[in-house]
Amino acid sequence: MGLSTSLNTAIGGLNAAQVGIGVVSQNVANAGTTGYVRRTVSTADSLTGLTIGVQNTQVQRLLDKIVQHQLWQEASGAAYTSTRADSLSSLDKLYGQPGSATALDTIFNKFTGALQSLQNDPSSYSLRSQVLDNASQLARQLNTLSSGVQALRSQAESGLASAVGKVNDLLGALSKVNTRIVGSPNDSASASLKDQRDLILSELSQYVDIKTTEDARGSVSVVTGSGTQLFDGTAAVTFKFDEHAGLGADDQWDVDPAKRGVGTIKIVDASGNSSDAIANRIFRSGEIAANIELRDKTLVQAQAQLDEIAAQMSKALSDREIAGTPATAGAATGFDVDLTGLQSGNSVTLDYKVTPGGQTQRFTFVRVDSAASLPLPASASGDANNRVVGIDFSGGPASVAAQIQAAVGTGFTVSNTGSTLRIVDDGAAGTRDVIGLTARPTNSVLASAGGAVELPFFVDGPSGNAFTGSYDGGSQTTGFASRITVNPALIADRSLLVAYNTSPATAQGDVTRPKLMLDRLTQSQRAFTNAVGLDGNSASANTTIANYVQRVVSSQGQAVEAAKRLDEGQQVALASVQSRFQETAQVNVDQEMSMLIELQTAYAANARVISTMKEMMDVLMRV
Amino acid sequence: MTITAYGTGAYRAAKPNEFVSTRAQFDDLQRQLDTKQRSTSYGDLGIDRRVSLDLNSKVSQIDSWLGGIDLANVNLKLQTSSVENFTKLTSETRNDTRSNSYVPSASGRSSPQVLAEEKFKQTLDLLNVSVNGRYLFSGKTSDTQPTAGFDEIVNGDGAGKAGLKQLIDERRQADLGSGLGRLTVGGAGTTATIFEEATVHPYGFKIAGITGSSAALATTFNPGPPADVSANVASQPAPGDTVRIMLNLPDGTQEQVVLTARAPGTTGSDADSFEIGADVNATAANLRNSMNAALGQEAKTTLSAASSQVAAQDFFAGSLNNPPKRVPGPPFDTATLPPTNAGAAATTVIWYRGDDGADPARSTSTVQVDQGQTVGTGARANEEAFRVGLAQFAIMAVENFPAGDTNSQARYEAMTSRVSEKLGFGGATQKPAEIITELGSAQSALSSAKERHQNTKDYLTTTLAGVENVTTEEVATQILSLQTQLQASYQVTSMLSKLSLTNYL
Repeated sequence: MGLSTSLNTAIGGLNAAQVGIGVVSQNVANAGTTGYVRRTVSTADSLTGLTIGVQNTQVQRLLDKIVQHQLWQEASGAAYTSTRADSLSSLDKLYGQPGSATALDTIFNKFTGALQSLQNDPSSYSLRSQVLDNASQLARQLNTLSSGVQALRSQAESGLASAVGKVNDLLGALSKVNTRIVGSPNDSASASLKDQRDLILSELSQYVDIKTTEDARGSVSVVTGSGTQLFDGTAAVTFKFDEHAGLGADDQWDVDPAKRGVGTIKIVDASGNSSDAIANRIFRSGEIAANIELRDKTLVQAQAQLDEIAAQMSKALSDREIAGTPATAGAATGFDVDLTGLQSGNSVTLDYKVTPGGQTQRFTFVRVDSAASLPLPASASGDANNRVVGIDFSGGPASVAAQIQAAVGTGFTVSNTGSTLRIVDDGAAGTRDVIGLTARPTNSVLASAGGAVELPFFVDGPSGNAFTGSYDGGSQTTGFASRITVNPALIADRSLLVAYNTSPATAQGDVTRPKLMLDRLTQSQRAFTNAVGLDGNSASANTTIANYVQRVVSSQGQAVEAAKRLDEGQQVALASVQSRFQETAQVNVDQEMSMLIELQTAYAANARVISTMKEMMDVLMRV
Repeated sequence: MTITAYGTGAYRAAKPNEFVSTRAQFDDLQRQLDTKQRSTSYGDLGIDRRVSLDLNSKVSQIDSWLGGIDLANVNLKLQTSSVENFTKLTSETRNDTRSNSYVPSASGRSSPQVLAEEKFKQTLDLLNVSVNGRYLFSGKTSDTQPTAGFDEIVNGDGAGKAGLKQLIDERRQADLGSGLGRLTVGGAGTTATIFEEATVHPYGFKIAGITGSSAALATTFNPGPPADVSANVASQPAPGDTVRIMLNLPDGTQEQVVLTARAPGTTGSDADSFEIGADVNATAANLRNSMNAALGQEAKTTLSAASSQVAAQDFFAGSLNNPPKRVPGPPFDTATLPPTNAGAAATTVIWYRGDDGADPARSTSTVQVDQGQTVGTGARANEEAFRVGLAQFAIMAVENFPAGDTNSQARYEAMTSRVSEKLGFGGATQKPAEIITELGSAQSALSSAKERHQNTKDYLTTTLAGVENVTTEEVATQILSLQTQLQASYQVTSMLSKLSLTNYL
């Protein structure tokens, strides 16, 4: 080995040290740069002929791929939970501070309290006004809560729109970066490109849950958690979203575009075929999935709960209960009930026992005025002990009896005389016992001669349409909370809070009507639909309205708390993965400095070698 | 919408994030210290939110009960004091109407009568008492003033509706008939008979019996109806022998007419004695004269007083759905059909305008003091005690006793004895004290309910405060420990960041 060889090796060492110092300086300089991954230089012996040198082969990015994938997954989980927690927490705020004057339950309590006071002095103008003021406040609060819920849905909708746009942008950017990575060698510049790529992917992971794979050339492919290819060297798909503005309670997602009142995400592949990404459940985590869930499920349910409060409150005050009169037909016993006065959405209930020793069961027949409204929507359905059946009244009383007969099956005989419906059991056979038949027509006048005590206290919208819970042309209950108002006629004439009969005229101090209102709101047990999924309960609940309001507020609070806890948990998980990722990827200045000293020494040593070489050459020349 | 920083690039934010969340905790604790409220939403209240909701609704309900009780207490106190005052007025009049108190006066009205008129007006005012526009003695129609005014009640409305005076007058005409209280004295020879009219009717005297004190005056009584009595002068009676005729009056009282035989040639009032004549026929003729005179006097005194009682009673029994009964007529003096209220609504003043349902007066206004407990606090101005009192005051007020009329004293005595007896509220008559007792027991029910609710409320509020509120000490301690923690954390972070190899190169 000659001197020149050593010289060459030393020069190679100098180069290597310089590159190393360059990388160190880059590391230190970028210690605070977002998305920067620490780099190292790997050196290797090189053997060119007889020359052994030092070669800088590659600039490596020091990161743990597995942890990085985990990080992306946790990131989409965190985006999902925090989006939900944020949205629900604003919903929670809408329900007001516990015990404060603006809390929903306080307002309801004030309303019942005012009714209670009215009972003590029904003729007092100020007490009547107090009832109406509190009722108006309650109605307004339900309106406010509804519009709050719908505003949150609209927010989710525009969140989806911007997320979809962002995902498309990111896929486009990814495509450019990916092409450059594939075409460039593995040097310091390509490391920067990869940093940029990872930054894009990490941002993408906030919107969609993704899995990535990288091939030998450095090209990535991106697949969603549900298995849809998003990117494969180029963007495999683009997303489209038709944003709808100003969502209302009746704007719901549906596969059928004609029935859909909200936007849906279309996924368009390279050949132009499109499919519905929401119907196919492409999104399982990330911000998009969270917004879809909020818009189509969580907030819809919150609205349904408010609608149920409004509907039950309205019906409790307006629906009369007309018990059937006992009737017999041979050995069979049952009841007659008059169906006149029954409006669309009003019900007739049949209570019976399966004998011997069976428990009481119920059929609820709901009036609809068009066959197109049948079958009733899922939100109307009862449970095993209370089957709810829609009956089309447009065909006249005989057709009604026939439909009811078909619904109840054998064991009952259903007949009619004019509008009077008769249901009797099977008499001697003794397999069924009819124990009650009750019609529940809505009273839509405030007072009349021989008038009913029940009153249309709340009406649907400012025009004063009666609320009957009709299913014709869509459920009237949907979004009722956003339309409920106190009957304007009642506000115009407060005495109607007391006077229900015009002949003989009800005394102004008569307590009958105020007492009925209070009892119906605080004492009467009512069956609440199971569609609102309160506390995850699927059976229809029997409880008082006062209790139901409490349950709604409490279950909403619980849902928010659960969402927050979930988010906290997810943030902890994210933080732990982050810290694991940092262990390898973060620039440690101390480490870089020690590396710098090492490289400095190496540089000095190599320089020393060269200077020694020079001295030796000089000695040689002098000879 | 902000996107929380996460992802590869955000790890640098991890440590500062911890500071931020600790700061946020700090701020929340500060809010707690300021507001004393544990949380601003039901979501943050945790598992206790159900307790908070439940207790809030209970407290609200108790508040409305307490509010009702407070209001009802005011009403009850006013009602009680009204009834107490009324009681005082009745007992004063009762004292004024002791017997033998007639003093003739130029105006025909004694001072107790003048006072009675004032008391009548005062009673109307007491019954018209209202709180916040709510009439306390009007039953369910608490927005209606329960009674008409004094002048309208007494004199009619001047537009076709008759008042009490006219009703008394009509009834008196019907009772007195031609002057003998619808009886006729007849008989010939040795008999003297008194007949009721052939048509049976409720007016005037009703004969209840006759007795003779000796065999000389043989009496027979045919109870009828129509009833008649006769006295047969079988032989000349001895002076001092008596014929005693029992007469029922329309107001349920009974009067005895005692006719004493007096020796021939003596003088005496025909109204209580008859002269023994020359023979039995002459004696019988004297007896008949005497009967006429006695019945005429009774009719002008006791029957008149009884008649006023009945008329006033009927008048004050009137209400909107049940107008007062009136004697059909004119003519009234020959009326035979019983008093009726058919058509009376249009022709008669109805003094009581409140509700007149069949339910007890107390239940016309109720206060719910607990889930299952309601206390009746209602009252009606037409409760029996008030009706009786008002009728007696009114009779006193409207009657007139001219000084020149010889029957004035007897009529005054007949009136005052009845007034005094009625104002004693004897027998089954409702007494004002009963109303006071009932209102008093309502008051004590209210006050015990109030005490109970107050205790429950105190307990609930304390419990609620434990759920919703925080104590200053608790928060202060938390803030202190958080502060220490945050300070330590800052310190260590700052020290660590200074510890860099760079400094030692």
